[in-house]
Amino acid sequence: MINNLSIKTLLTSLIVSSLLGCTSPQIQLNYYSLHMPASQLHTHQSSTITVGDVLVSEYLQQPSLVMKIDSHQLYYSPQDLWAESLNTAYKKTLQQALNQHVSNQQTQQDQPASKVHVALEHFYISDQSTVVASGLFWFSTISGSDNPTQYPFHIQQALSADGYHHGVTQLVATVERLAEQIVEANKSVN
Amino acid sequence: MTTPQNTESNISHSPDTQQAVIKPVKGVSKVWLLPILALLVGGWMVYKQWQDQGPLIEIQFTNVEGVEAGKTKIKTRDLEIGIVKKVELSDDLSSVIVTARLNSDTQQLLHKDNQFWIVSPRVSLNGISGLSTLLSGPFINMELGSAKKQANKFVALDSPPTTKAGTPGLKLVLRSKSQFSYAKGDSVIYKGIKVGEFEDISFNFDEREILYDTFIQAPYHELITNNTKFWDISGVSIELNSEGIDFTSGSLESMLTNGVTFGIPDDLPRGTPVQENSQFTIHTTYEEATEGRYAQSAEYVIFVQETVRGLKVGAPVEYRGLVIGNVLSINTVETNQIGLLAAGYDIPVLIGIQPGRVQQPDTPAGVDFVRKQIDIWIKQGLRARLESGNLITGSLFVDLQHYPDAAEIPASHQVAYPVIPTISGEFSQITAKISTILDNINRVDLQALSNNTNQVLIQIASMVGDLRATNTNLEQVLASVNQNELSSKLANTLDSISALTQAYSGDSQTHNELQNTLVILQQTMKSLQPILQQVNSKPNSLIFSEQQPAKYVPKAASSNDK
Repeated sequence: MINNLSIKTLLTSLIVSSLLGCTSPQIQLNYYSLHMPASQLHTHQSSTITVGDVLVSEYLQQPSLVMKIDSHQLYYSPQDLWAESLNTAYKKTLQQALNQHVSNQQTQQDQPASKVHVALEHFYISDQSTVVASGLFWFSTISGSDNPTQYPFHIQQALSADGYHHGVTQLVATVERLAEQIVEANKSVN
Repeated sequence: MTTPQNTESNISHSPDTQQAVIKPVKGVSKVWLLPILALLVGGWMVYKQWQDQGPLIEIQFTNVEGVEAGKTKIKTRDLEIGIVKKVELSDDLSSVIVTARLNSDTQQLLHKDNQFWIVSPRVSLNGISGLSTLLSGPFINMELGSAKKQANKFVALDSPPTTKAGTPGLKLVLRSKSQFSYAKGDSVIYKGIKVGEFEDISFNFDEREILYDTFIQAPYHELITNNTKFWDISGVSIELNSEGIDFTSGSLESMLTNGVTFGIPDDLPRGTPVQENSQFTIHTTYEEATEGRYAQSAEYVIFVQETVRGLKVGAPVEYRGLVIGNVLSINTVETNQIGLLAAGYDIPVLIGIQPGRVQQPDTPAGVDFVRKQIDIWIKQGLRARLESGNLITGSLFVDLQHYPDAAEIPASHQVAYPVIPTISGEFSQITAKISTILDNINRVDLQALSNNTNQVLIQIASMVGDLRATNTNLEQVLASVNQNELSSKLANTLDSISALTQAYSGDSQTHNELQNTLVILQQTMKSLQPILQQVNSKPNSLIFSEQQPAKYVPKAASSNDK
């Protein structure tokens, strides 16, 4: 009786220790959001530029943050992920940046409303200590007629700190710079 | 030097020498034994040679092509039994006498009826023979006879006999007046088997017919009886008769050459065996051979008013479809008519009705019965007419039928034979029938028919009016249905379908949710792709974690420069 109990105990401890040996350390996942609530709400003013379609490249339509580690090699960080889909977040962030810019520049009331569409071709952190955002944008009127003129953009921001957190911050900065270019372009159009 | 006298005196007087005793020789000297022995041996050899050599025979040939003295051999059953010693012309220069020496033990083989002929290469339609003599040269073959008498002088055959002497079988004589061209060696075939041959051909000047000496091999000779009929099967026979095209051929051999076959007609008894050299006639066809079995026939004349083109001698005479006789002659019977070119000349056709074909004895009594019966039938309406047996060949035959309504035609022409009245042929009858049909059509009351048709048309018109009213009512019913409850239900249904379509249209919430779900699913699949690749390459990596791959972290510009 005693022998049977001791054998069972021994076998159970062996199995448990084997299973424990197979366990892996828990992976720490970091979620990032491109869009954050603005510090000041500009409810009394609405932007004359609204963001229409945001078309994101195929390789960006996945949750991992992308890092370019070679001339043509990309690295998807397994632990650093977007909290929401990039085109939604980019659209919100851009709209927020445009609103912010309009509030800063006090746009004219008689300026006609227009809609901007963005094709985001590249949006990554580079191993060359920069972040890159490039693509095209074009305008259309609210009524829906397209303006055939397309404006390319290529925005690069240097990294001043290590880590993905700082990289995301710089990516948000590229969105703000794109908003500036859009506003300028909109002025030239009108 | 001493003289002989001195020597003799010296010897006689010498006391040491003896006087020779001279004795006369009494026997033959042994020296003679040798020539005597040689003489005996020589004599024995001569005797042996004389003893070994067989009889000397003389064979008379008409032609001795290839025969040479001292070379050509005499053979029997391929066994060499002698050699030709001398070849010379006969005294009257009509033949060649070949003298041959046979072997010693062949005297008993020299029957008087032995047959001799020269064997040399021979090619004929019946085959190729004597090929072995191409190299060895011709030889004289001796076929042994069976006669008890012996002879030393023979007359050779010009060619090999078709039947070897002593072959069991039966010899027949076949007669023919037709222009057959049978040759010596042509086949007699029975059911496709060659059972005999033509041996010899002669011509009988009195009867003007050809006689064929024919040999039937045993055991087939037992098939020959007094009821056996022979007919020709040479080549291919194609005959166009009233029953169509008849194609007949014998064996392949007989198609190339000539041949006859034989048999007993179906309705004849087997008969009794025949004697040697019995005579038979060769018929042209099987039909003619079987035809000839009826000896008796009741002969009648029919007078034909139409053309007899297509009617042949031998054409059948049918009574209700059964053959009861045949046509014996056309336009050869003498009548009291002036001539063929006279107006209304009826062509006399002589027909024979054979009692044997109508279950009567093939005797004069049967003929009388047939005549009496035909006479009665003629009074009751029996008529003859020509009918077409075959539309393609146009062959005609004589058809006897009862026509009770037919008018009795008196025999208008005097003739030596009784007459069966004729009626017109098929075309005349067709014309009469068409005329009858037209008469019937004329009898139809067209006026009454027209009135009836008018009435029917009026009824149809009223029926069409009713149909039109029914159609109007139906249209009204359909219109009312359209305006009522059915249309409102249909409208509701279409609204429901429209709402359902909108729920699934491009900008609808359902569509967007579905699209988002699909996008998420696609992203999830992409996320799973590295894991799946890892598991695919290293299945145990799920359990045994190895060293983590290099992790890239963005670096600041200052640290990157370092």
